[in-house]
Amino acid sequence: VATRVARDPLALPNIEQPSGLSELALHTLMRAQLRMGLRYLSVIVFALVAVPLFLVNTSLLDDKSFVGVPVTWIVIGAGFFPLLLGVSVSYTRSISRLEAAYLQMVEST
Amino acid sequence: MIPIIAIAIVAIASTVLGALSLRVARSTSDFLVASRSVRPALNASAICGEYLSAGTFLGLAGLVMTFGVDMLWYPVGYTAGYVILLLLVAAPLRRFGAYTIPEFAQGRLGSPMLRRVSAGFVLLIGWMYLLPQMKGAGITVATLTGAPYWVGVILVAVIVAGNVAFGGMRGITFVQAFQYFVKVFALSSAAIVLLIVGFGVSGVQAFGSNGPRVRECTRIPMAAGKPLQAIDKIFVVPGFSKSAAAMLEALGIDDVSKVRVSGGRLHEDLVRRGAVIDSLARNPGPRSSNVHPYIEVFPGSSGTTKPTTSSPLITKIADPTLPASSVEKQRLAASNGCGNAGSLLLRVLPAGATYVTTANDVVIVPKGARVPSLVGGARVDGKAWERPFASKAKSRPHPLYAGYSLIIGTFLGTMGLPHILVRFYTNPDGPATRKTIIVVVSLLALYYVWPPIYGVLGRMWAPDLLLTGKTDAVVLLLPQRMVGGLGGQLLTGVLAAGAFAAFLSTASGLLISVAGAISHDLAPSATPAGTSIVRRFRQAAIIAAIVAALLGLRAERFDINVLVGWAFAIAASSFCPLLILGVWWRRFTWVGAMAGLLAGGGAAAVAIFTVMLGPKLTGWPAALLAQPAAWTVPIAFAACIAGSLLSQSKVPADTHARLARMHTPERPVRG
Repeated sequence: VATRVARDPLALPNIEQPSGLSELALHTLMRAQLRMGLRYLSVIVFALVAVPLFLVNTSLLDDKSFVGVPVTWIVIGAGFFPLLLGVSVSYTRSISRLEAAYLQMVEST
Repeated sequence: MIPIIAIAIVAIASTVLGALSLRVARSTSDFLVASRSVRPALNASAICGEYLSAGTFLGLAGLVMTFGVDMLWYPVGYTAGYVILLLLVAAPLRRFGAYTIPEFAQGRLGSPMLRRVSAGFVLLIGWMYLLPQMKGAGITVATLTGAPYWVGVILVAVIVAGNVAFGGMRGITFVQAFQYFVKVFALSSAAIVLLIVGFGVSGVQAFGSNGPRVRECTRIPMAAGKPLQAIDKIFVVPGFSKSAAAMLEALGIDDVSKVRVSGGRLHEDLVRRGAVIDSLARNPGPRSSNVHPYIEVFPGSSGTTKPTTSSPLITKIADPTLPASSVEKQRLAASNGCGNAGSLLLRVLPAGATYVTTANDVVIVPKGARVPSLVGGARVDGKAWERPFASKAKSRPHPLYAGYSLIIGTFLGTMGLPHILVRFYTNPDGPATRKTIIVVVSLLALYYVWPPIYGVLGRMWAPDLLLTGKTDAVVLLLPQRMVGGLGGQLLTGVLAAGAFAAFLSTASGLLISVAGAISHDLAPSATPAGTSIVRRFRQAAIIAAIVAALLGLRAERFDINVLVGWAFAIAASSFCPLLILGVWWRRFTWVGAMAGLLAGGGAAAVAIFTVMLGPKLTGWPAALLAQPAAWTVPIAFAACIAGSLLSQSKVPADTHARLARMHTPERPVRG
């Protein structure tokens, strides 16, 4: 188990401590963590790929404006931030639950 | 005066805060990473303080003003970069416990050589990112005081080198957090005032106006050798500096008898050629006692035209031998604004006409006319400015590709910025790291909505900058243009303080990383006796600052935020694959990592240096080289993976332990 040891920052990380984690257990944990990260990542990647494509291929938003500002400016300039924040908060909750469940499982075995 | 005081306050406050914390910075650990005792909110403020640089404080507004809506992807990518950092890298890296990317490279893959090459990329990215900070400081001081460009560059280099060398990271944490709030306060408060003023005067006019139109007759002093193309009819007051003959030729006057002169250096020469001596000059009365020498041309001279029908019958130019300031004054007095500009001798450029400027030319753009464009320039006009990916400029080809490449570079580059990663080690553990990032994303959103507003206002109130190319100064110039007087001075002061906070904080963070890479990753391990680690770090900081200043002196002609984007592109093409594969892939080897760094990072660096130093390109080569991330990042990943698969014997024996260390959750602290 990782520990927090005060150490000289110029030394390399001390890897010698036994991890106490079997190959299989680590593999399972990493897969679960990675899968969760990629799931949330796909939301952002989808938005970053799709929005430019959508804006280029449609004239739906052309000349639409809100208090004098074109809607496309608002979508790009402000619309992404709530999405990014939402993904961050939601991911942090899920991964914390996942890691807590993992710790519980390790302790109970 | 007020802006200079504001800059001084920020500079002194940063130094004092840094010096105060010097007393607690004793151990190396304190020096480099603030002893890992910083809370998420404070740490997040410090990360943002360090991250928000001249690129977004000054540069982004300038880019929006020039290129329009496509530039809004920069802040999106800059923020999304933290989210991918959160999703894939942050907590494992924090648990691993390496302080810098080179250290992670060696710690994870076990190759000292990989560490040195990584440190080389830290230097490359760090200096590339320091360039725009230096430029920002140079133009800020120049804009506010009229001092030469180098003054600001040297000033910031000295302050930052001093702070870093004597305060280290501990000092910087408080200073950085303080500087985030200075920046966000400055940018938001001034933007709100300017929005109210701008909206009150004219409503939002930047959009739908089909090009940057001046609000009133605007006189734009030009440097020599700029090829203009008029969009609407404009006028040029040629700056004469040579002989009477050259002047007559430049104006296209073939009949010198229509010229009337009243003294000045060219007087004798012109009279000898047949010009008429002005009666006022021959019989100077009381009225003429403070009239400068001038030259007038009677109507009908070929090659000159009057701009308006209501202009006087004769045109007049100032004596070119007068000092520039009094020439300008006299011209202003003589022209009385554009309505009467006919009293100056003008060259008319009808719509579509081109003209190459000579020294001291002044372009006059009549009220409501569009600012001329530069031939071959990349400025985006008309509907293309407000619509996404619509640029058709030859020097700005393939806007959709450029947009995607920009997104890739900023999205994946954030994690590879050397000065950002080290900040995460000031979090106590993985979960705290995640909380910190959530706060960072919020603080960034709070900040990034403001810079584009300055770009839009700049399009309306300072379009002349599009012609002179000084768009990076638009944030600082708007208050004087829009408010003026004491209010304008105060707003300029607030913005100048924020801008300086931006240079100081980012440059400090970068300098720590660069100095750390030099003193701790690159320096020979055998140190001369008596040289402490801290002392070595200080020497490295001073050397790094000198290099940054020397490079910064040469960076004036590049757009600030474009330079920042390039630093991100190199980071994305080098460190992003190293970090992601290092955290998640058990078959990763140092050979693969090295191949990825050299192929991806190397390709990005070559592309960018070609754009910076090479000839002007058009078409696909221009697009691919100016925004390389879209092809260099895949190259980097491919090289990492191929290199690793070909060198499976080099997989470190303790990979399991290392991965376990990164991925095993911390036990919650039980109270």
